[in-house]
Amino acid sequence: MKHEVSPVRYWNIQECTIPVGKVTIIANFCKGGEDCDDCIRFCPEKVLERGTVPNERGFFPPILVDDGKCTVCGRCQLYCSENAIFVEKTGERVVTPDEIAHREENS
Amino acid sequence: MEIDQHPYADILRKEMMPNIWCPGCRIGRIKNTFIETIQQLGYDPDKCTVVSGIGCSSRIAGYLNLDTIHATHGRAIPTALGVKLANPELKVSVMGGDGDILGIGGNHFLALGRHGQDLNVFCMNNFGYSMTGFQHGPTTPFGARTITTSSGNPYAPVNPVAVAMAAGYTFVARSTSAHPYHLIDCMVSAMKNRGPSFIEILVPCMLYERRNKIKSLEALFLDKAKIKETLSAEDIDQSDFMKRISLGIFRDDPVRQRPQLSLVKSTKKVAAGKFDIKYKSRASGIKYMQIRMEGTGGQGIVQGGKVMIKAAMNMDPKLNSTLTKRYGPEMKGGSCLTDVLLSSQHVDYPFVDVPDLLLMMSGLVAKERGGKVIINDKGTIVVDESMVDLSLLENLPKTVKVFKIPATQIARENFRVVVANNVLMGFVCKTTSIIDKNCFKAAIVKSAPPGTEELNLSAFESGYKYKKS
Repeated sequence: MKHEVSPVRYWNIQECTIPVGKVTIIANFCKGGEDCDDCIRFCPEKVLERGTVPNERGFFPPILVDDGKCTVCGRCQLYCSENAIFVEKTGERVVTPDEIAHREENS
Repeated sequence: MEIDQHPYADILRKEMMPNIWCPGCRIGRIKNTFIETIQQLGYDPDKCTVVSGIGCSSRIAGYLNLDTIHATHGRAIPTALGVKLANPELKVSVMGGDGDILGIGGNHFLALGRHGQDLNVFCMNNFGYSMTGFQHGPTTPFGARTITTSSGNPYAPVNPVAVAMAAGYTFVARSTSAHPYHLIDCMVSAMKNRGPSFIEILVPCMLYERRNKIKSLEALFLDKAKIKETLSAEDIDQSDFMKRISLGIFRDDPVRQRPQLSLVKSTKKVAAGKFDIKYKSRASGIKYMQIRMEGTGGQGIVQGGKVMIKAAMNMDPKLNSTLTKRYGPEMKGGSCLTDVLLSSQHVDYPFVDVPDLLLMMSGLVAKERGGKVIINDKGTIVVDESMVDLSLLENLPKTVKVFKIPATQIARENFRVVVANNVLMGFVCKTTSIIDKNCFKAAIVKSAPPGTEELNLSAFESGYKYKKS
């Protein structure tokens, strides 16, 4: 659901850069499924989703939905008990004030 | 391998991966926070050590590429203490579960608080012994169902934070696995603290959830736990953790200043050059000599043996010698004997079989033996006449030399009873002439308590000068 952004509330937001990262999933280490799914639940950008293809031990590792959205917060890396996921910073991108305002409204 | 590019790859032991914990177990997250803590503080991984006991959470030590020890059950803290004392530069952490640290190693956990060494104890509390199928443990909540308490736990749980506060830990905190960023902060403070630190980390266990029909403990922690800046005494209590959990740092003190030792006063005075006795070492010609000193406890038998061995070493430093003592549980009044063995070769057997020189200060040992005096056929016996029943010596072969002196009587009349052994020593020195007089005197000065050198030396002299009247 998208609301209309009121320009009065976000008048002082300026353009900024945020990091862009690459998520790597080591499928054979993962113990995902109904019990875990920490990386999916704690990801603020909702980059990951429960997979449908089981790995060699019968668990369902997550799949990457939208790689470009990752902001290298490192939460999945810290929360994963099995060290089956990690992120690397690949670059930076510019965020416009409009986008920030949209995020604030929709969060 | 993809794992080589992992940011934690330096500290992970990759050949052990993937790890063995159940799916949904959050112990691995504690491992990640520990790695983050080391990286955040910038410690050299070679200077960090992890010691763990037995249990689910103790497997962390196996997955960290540091110098780690997997110790016996409950003995992680003493092992870590040994590591720390041997090499104080190391940052030593103890990883263990509640059963390991509070249950089986509970005594060591208390002792570390008293000891005050810089160790970090990270206790992962999952409310029971989960590795063996979830038996009830010291921290199982009241009424919780486990294998061994199938109709609800009837015992009250231990509160680890309260115990650590009472035991004198200088850093005490509580956190959960669902708050890893808070846990990193706690761990950083704990590593910086210079006394014993303790963090209780609540960890969900699948087995506990299933038996007690809890959907997710992780969600419960996230829901009920509150991180507080300042904590009151009420926050320590955690008996109803289903309703309220208080997280935070309960105590962060500098190292406790221990009061000055008032009980132990330094009484040792350095003896002035007054009793500097010079002696000459020479080859004694002893090949193998067994000396035994018998008597009653309290007569200075062990002390006499020590003087004897020191005097012998003063005279001929090339000799090999052993001293063994045997006495009963009673300090005074029981039978007591000291064996001194002098040999020109290496000593293989340190005990005395048949003594060549026997010093008897009382007949108690011989009477316990059934009235038998063990002595070499060509040996020498020196007897304290005033204490020993002389009828014991009647059946000896005639080749045995017997010298008699009323040592205790002399000591009682002229000095104090306690120096009777030195009176006897003086007499031994005179009659047997195995060891020189000055060697004996130097040994007496060395082994006498400070301030009593003169008394002991004059007792020795009176024994040396004794003549049968």
